[in-house]
Amino acid sequence: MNQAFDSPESLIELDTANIYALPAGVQADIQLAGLRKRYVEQIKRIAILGKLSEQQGISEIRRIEDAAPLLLPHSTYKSYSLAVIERSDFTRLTRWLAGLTVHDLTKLDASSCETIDDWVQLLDATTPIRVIHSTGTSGKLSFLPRSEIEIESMVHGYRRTFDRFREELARIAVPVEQAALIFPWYRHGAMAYHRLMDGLQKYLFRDDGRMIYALNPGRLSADAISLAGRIRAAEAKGELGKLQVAPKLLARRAAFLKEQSEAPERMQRFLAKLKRELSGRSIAAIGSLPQQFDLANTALKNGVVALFHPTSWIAAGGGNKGRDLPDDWDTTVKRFYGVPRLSDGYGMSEVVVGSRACPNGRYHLPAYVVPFVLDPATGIPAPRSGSCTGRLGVFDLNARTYWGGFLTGDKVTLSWGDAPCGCGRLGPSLHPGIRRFTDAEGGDDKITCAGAPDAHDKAIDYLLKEAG
Amino acid sequence: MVEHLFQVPLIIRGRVILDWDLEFGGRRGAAKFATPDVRKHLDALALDTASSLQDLYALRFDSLLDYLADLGTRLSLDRNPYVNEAFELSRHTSGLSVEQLRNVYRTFGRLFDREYLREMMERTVGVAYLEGWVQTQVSSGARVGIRAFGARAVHIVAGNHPGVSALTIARNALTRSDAIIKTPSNDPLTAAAIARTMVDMAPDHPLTKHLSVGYWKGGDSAVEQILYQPRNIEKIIAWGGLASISHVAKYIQPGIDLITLDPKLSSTIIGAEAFQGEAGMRAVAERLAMDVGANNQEGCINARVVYIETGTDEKGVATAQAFGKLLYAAIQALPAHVSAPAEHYDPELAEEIQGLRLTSADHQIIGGGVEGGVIVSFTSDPVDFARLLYHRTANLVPVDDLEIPILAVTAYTQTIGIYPESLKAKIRDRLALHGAQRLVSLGYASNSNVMSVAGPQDAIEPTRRMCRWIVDESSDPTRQPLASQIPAA
Repeated sequence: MNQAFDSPESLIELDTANIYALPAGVQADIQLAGLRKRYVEQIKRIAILGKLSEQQGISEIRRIEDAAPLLLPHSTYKSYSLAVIERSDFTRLTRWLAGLTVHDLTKLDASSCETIDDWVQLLDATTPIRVIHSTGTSGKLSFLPRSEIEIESMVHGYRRTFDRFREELARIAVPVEQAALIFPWYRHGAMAYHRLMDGLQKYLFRDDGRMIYALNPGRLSADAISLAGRIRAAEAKGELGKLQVAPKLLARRAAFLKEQSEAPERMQRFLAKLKRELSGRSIAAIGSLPQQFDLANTALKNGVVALFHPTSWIAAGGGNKGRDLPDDWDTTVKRFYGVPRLSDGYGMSEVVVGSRACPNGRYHLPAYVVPFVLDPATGIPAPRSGSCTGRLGVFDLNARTYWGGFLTGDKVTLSWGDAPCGCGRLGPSLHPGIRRFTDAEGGDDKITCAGAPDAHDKAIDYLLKEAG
Repeated sequence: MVEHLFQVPLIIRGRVILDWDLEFGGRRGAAKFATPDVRKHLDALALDTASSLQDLYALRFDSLLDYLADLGTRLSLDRNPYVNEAFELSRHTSGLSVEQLRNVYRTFGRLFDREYLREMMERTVGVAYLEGWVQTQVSSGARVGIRAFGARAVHIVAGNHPGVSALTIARNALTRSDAIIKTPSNDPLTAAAIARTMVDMAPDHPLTKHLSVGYWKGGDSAVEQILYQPRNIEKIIAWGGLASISHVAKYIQPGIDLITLDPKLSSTIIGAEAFQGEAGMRAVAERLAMDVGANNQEGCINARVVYIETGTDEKGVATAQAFGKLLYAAIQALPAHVSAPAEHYDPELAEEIQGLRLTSADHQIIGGGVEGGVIVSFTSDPVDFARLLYHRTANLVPVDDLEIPILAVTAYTQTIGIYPESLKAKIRDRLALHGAQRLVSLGYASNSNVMSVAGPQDAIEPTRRMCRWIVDESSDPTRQPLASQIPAA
């Protein structure tokens, strides 16, 4: 336990039963020690933390609450100018990224990069940084500079998902190393999913690539994702004709087209392989909600029902990504996999590990995630006892190479754990019914004359037809 | 803040309905209101006989003006309890400060000034066309009469300024139309306050009888499926673009004319002449501050991205920064009834600015809190979040070449403030071709008086389009034989 005070990242190596057995007071002590350690380690090394501390007049962390003004909003990780992508100015993008990480990037020469994929792969090959990018639905990808050591923590976190807590039901029927992982999308890429799978293959499956069943063995192009968002934004501004696309990306049109046309056949081959190799077995599956739905829907249409062992773990996360899915999408997914329920969890790319709902529907935050509940208007943190509702901020003690303070856009109710949850876990927990602040506050029909309309997604189509 | 439950009546052609069936949460979490369930009153709300507009045609245009002028004198904030209630509710929902709102509602009556409205209708439609058939003779010999008739219309109005409701009611009256105003959640009471005043003033007057005002949640198909039918309406005038028409679009069919006042953004172009000396820069900054700050930048007319021809070399960027300081000071110096610090700052904008502040080496941020701010770009790129610029926040973008701002104009550009005048004359045709809709001398973007009197709003002339333009062709067989009687060529 004392080790946790010195190296908070080691907490994640504790079994779930042990983590949730820590009394709330001990958790808080470990968290304060962890925050102070991270702050002292990083204040001189991460430029953005230095600026933020100076701006907020903070020079040390004496109480956990002191870290509340040091939580970074999501916008931080996409605060570069989109013009750098349009002009392939990756030297400038590198300079921007350097302000967010402890790693020294002054010697990295990114001037020859033409695409985001080039840049990400250059960082992968020559630095410890393993950038994680978002889906960029707003027209801009965010870039979080995670590193290889935090990828290891992601793998520990994955193990934690399958630790059994007391007499609760097991999530899989075999040891985690023996449960194949199904992912109905690209095997490679630089989103959090892909980084996790790279880590799992390396650290959990001992380099056995056959344990991961991805629908597409290829690589998700960050540029294609970025372009999709930019097309949406350009359409909204009536500027589609002005979109600048890197020549190297245009040159990949033929490859994109081929991929697109092969998709139905690939899906059939994938289903056949799952049937052949994993039928009746206890497996894990992760993916976004539309990906899981598309796989399940196709499978059911082909008469593939209840393919796996009923003690399998199926996660469909991240909302419907703007897709119109039927209300009973989850029934479709459950029927295909043959499981009684889908995993209910709460997490985000910016935090190394998410939480799974306990039998009472609460999301218990493990001690390495330090929660803050802030007043959405003033940013003032709520007292750390009883229950409170507000905007969730977290400090992820697993973050060692970037600043772990992150301000979510989520409206939550959190119980600090002075009254224990019936499930037996100690410490803070989030109540069900978490939603985005934007949904909670807006969404009704305010009408104004100022603004620009939204538009639709036509990414690859654009690349295929118009930009040539 | 103590939560107050406001009451928003439903008004159907002179009848005021005060049942509080439903509650809706207002904007920004602070105001809630109760209102009758429109679904119960749909039979009365739909006007299914077009000829019922007939009563308006017994009235002279002058008497329409008389009515509105009389109405204007009754809308004083201090004496009219309905207007006062609208003001109180707007205090919770509006982006304008209390002082500005008070000023708007105090001077509300002026929007119904006789001469102002006459000039507005003369320039935007032509009074003669509203008053009768305007006869002309075409070269073939036929006589043609043209008249602008009213129509039955649903207006989905914007709520960011109370003037939108007043303007809609005046336009409806003067085009002899029948309006059903669907109010927005950010201003559900202003149109109702005016309509109630009309009922008190002249309950049986045809103008009172051709105005209905109600709130229902946009997209409520129980209401819209019935109302948005060609047998009930001929036009839908929708402010706010997608936010309102995404609900409306599925009802559009032959027989319903959709007039959209899309959301727009405005910008500024300032030529090199402005940056010759500090006194000159200060004067230009004062004019620009008006375009940025008037009505707290809540409108589509307000400047957001400002292109300045300072150049992008070191000297140019230094000039841009110096100009940024002057602009910031000029925004702060705007009088309180014109512009005020934000009361409910947009958290999304705050986070974008914070992100830039912490990570960007390519921007200077002057101010940037509730009091307003200036973001100086060091390159010719506007910030990526330009569409979020509110609360008196401008983005100064230095350029070497005015081609950059000209090419940045799109169909969503409304007003462009330009300095100097000679530059406006030089580039206005190109700006128009790229999509700009209104060009003004720097500092006059918010001059709404000139805009409504002279302006073909958003390049589409909505007031003309609110009318149905009917033609009566008279041909004399003795001078123009029937086509069947003319031998083949």
